[in-house]
Amino acid sequence: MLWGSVVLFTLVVGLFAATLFHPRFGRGLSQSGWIVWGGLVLPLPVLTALTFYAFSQGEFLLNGGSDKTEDVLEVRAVGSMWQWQFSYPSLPGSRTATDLLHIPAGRTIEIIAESEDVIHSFWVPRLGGKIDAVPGHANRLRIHADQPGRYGGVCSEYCGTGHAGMRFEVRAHTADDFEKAIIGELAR
Amino acid sequence: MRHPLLLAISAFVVWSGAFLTIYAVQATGCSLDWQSGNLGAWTSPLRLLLITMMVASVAAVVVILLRQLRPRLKAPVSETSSFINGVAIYVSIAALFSTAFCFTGVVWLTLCSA
Amino acid sequence: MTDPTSPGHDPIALHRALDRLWAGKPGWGRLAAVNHNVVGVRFMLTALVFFAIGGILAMLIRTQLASANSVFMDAETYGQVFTMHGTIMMFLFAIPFFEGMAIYLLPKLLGTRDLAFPRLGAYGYWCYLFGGMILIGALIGGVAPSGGWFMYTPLSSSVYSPGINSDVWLLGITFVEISALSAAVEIIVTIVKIRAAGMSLDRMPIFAWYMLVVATMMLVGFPPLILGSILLEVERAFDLPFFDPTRGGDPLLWQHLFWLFGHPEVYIIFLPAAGAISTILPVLSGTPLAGYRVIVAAIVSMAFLSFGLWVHHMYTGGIPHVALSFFSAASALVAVPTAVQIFAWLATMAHGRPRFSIPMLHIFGFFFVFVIGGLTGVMLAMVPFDWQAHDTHFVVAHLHYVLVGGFIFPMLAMAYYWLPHLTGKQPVQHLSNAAFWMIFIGFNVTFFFMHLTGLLGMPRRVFEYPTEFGWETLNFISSMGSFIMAMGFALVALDFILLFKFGRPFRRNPWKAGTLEWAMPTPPPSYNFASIPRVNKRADLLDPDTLGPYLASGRGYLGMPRNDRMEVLGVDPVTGEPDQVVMLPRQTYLPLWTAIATGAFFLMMLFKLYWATPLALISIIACFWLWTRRDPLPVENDLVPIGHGLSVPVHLHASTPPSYLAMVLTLVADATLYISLLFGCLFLWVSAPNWPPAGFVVDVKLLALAVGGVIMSCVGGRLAARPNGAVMVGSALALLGHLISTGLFLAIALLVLPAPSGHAAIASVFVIFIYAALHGTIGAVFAAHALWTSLGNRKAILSLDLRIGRLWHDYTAAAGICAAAFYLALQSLIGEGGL
Repeated sequence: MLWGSVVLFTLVVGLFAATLFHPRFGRGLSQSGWIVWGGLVLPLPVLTALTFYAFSQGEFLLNGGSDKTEDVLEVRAVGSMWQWQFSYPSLPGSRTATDLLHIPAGRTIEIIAESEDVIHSFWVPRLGGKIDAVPGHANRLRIHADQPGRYGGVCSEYCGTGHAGMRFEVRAHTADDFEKAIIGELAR
Repeated sequence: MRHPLLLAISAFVVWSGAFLTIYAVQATGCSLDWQSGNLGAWTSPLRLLLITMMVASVAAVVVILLRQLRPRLKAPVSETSSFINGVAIYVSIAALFSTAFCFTGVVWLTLCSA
Repeated sequence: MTDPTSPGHDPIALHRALDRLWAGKPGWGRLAAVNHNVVGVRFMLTALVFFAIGGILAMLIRTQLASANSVFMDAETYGQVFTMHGTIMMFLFAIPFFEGMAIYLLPKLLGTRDLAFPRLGAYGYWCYLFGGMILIGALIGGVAPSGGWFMYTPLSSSVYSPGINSDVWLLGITFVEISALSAAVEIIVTIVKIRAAGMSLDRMPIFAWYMLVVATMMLVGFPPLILGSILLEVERAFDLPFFDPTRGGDPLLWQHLFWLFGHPEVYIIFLPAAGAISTILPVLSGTPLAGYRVIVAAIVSMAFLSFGLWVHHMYTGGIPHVALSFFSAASALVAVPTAVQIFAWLATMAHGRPRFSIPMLHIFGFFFVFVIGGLTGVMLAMVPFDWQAHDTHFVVAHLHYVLVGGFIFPMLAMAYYWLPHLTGKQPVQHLSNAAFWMIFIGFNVTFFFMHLTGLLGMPRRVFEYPTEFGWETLNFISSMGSFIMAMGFALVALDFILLFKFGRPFRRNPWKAGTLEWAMPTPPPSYNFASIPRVNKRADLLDPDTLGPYLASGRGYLGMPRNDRMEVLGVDPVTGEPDQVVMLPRQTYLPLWTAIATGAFFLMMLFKLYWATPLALISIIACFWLWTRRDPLPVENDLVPIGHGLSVPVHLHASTPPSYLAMVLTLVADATLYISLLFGCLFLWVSAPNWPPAGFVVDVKLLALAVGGVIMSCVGGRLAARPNGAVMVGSALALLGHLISTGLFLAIALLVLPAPSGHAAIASVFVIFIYAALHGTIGAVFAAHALWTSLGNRKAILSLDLRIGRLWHDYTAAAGICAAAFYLALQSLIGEGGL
């Protein structure tokens, strides 16, 4: 997408400069030829291909960016001014953590984003995708961390004066560590 | 004003109407849980309904375009009316492509959020 | 009566005679000005003042973000600053500026003397000025809105923004939008009806096509925003829970209403600029515009498609993928008409001999910047990419590339192109080049790097950020760029001042253009053309150098003032053949008084003096009623000569006078608002939590009676408006019908329904019935006016008034029937949803 854009940009600005500085440039092509080739033939196939590629990519991401969809772990993420509470409805005995989300690496996680007050938005830039936490709704987003590690997360919808500080951390663990982490027994 | 200008945009008016209706039916269908029934191997009642609506709106735009393409018998045509008819044909072609393009997603994309 | 048909008057004597009629008064009389030259320039100058304020706010933002953990501003101040920057640039600069430009230019390009409704233009200006002053006053007082320029609820609701801040936005912006709607009506009617003789649709200058499309988009684009503002203000003031999820409301409703306005808005801003380019570029290339017909089709298509993109601001809101796909596809498609225009411009240049000049330099800036903005726009239209980039600085960079590229650079091009027209002087051009390059380089340095900042994960609207995220260097570069850009704008301002002071006068038509605005003296006289031309080819291929003196000596149409009336030609919309003489109103203080009354209403709402608002409403209605008092115009249905052997009726007796069209257009805007309201309330049923509500019942007999009332007024209105119809009986019937239906709708809303604060379903029915009652009240005023006039003198009532009244009665009947049907539909849906 980036390189395609660079090519198109160079093309348009190059044509502008060429018509301006080379008086005879482009006379060979009729006016309607310019419009048909540049205005229709050039963009339509590009846009069509891009749109349909994006559709299929979107379906893929809706499944969490992986084909393994049977083993999904649900995480409830509740935003409030200005913190996130993470809990695991399907894991009895797990603790609710504030601004700290433990996940198992290699497994698809389904975030169920909710809000107690205004609209927040859950976003972990390196894990991809974001989802708004809208009061009265429970929106879902699937994310996936391949490697254990720490990932920074932010609130990406303006939610008042504490918006800038509404950050959280995602820790992806191996399966064993994850079991310990969610009951609070993992040494920091 | 009414006739020539409004007729020129009629294809896109159909597109707008289809857009609103298809979006509304999709949302209503999800709300009333029409997507979960199963008609045959690959489709649900909601998807079938949306596809039907898409085909119907494409057909409506095609009809409008064909009417505009029909040669005028009342000769001679004034410069102004041939201009408006020309614009109308371009606009209808754009509307036809838009109608076919915008709604193709109903064929296979996820219908409702979980 | 002087015979206006005799050709060849003395130009000086003609100028004196016309100027005495059209020119404004000195001193305080300036407040009475309605002339489009004056109003257009006022719009543009005021918008420039707001641009400067918005620009200073932008500098504050960049100063804050230049370093991590900056202590320059706290979070609350920063919130007010970025909210006001966006609000001012969008609502108080961009839209009013091009409105002013259209108001100033359109009559000149169309070869006529003024717009169709000069008083409406003046009223719009005062509303804009006063509304803007409310917002700036709040900024100075430290109570400016602070929830972002799109004011998402619930952050902007009374729970989370208890102060006056959000009210300032909702009321101030709605006040300003009155000017947008009135400009839309005025521009459409002018383009459709008030042109030079012989200017058929295919001969209109391309700019008129652009503005016709833009004004139509404004007419249907602004009502959803106004509706949203009303609903949110009603929630804040009276606790009607449209957006409160605990009581059946939904914050997403605001997002839909806002972006249903907000995305077309971008094209509303871009298209006038594109229209300016389509006008200027062919002149600078010395050749006619390529693909006139294709461009018209492209902008019409673009207008429609732009209404199918709004949800691309809401991709992360949990909307199903298939619904997103409609909007994603439309967002991608809208790039095609843009590409068609860009290549039509390139074709024009390729087939002409482009001259390098300052306007051309800014057009280059437009191409460079706007193409980047368009390409990032296509990226953002793709759902998966947007899920990552949404609400980051990538989006901030994109929107500035689009708006600065698509609006500021073309506006600078047009300023350098048309300032000689406005001032009668040519620029000195010592600073112009340097100013352009500073803006261009400064802009790209600021915003190109912001794409990267966004891709590195920096969200929008943060007032501080930690050093370890690695955003500081990029932000510092952006801030430096923005200061260079600001200096560039200061240079442009200085350049313009130098032009006013030291510009060289010129004879006529410095760019060798073929459009009508150069066929007049510069700076333009108050009446534009001493006589109105007949065009026999496309109105951008004319020869102003010979046409100018010909028109100045009064040899066109209406080349002599008569009976102290300000006259313009009304033409057939398609063929451009004259079909009426439109007599325009003289200078008057009424627009100012009406705007003051309107402002009083908004201030009372702002300061919660709800008990006093009926007084303001009554004075607004009284002011508008005074507008209808006419100078003693010829009531007899005679044809008047306009020159060259033609005679046409006065507009009051014509088949489609401007005021009739204006009423049709007003009802289109009104219907858009109503349809948005009905769909919005159904949306709540589909989407909002906590449905269905506890049961509530309205007696169907009462509803049936109310529907009977509106049908009665519809029938009455039609009886009265028929040729030789029963004016008195019909009007009385209409009045009675309106009184019955209004009384019943009010009684149901206020007495029968449970408290509307209990649930959004009840609030929906409440607001819809109040809407019906409000229309009934205005209908009653129409009917009473007709009855009163016909009781006094049966001859005095004009069939035009009755026909306009009939439109209103018909619309009110439809609205009333829909209101009743909505209630019944909602009841059955609630029953079904509860299963």
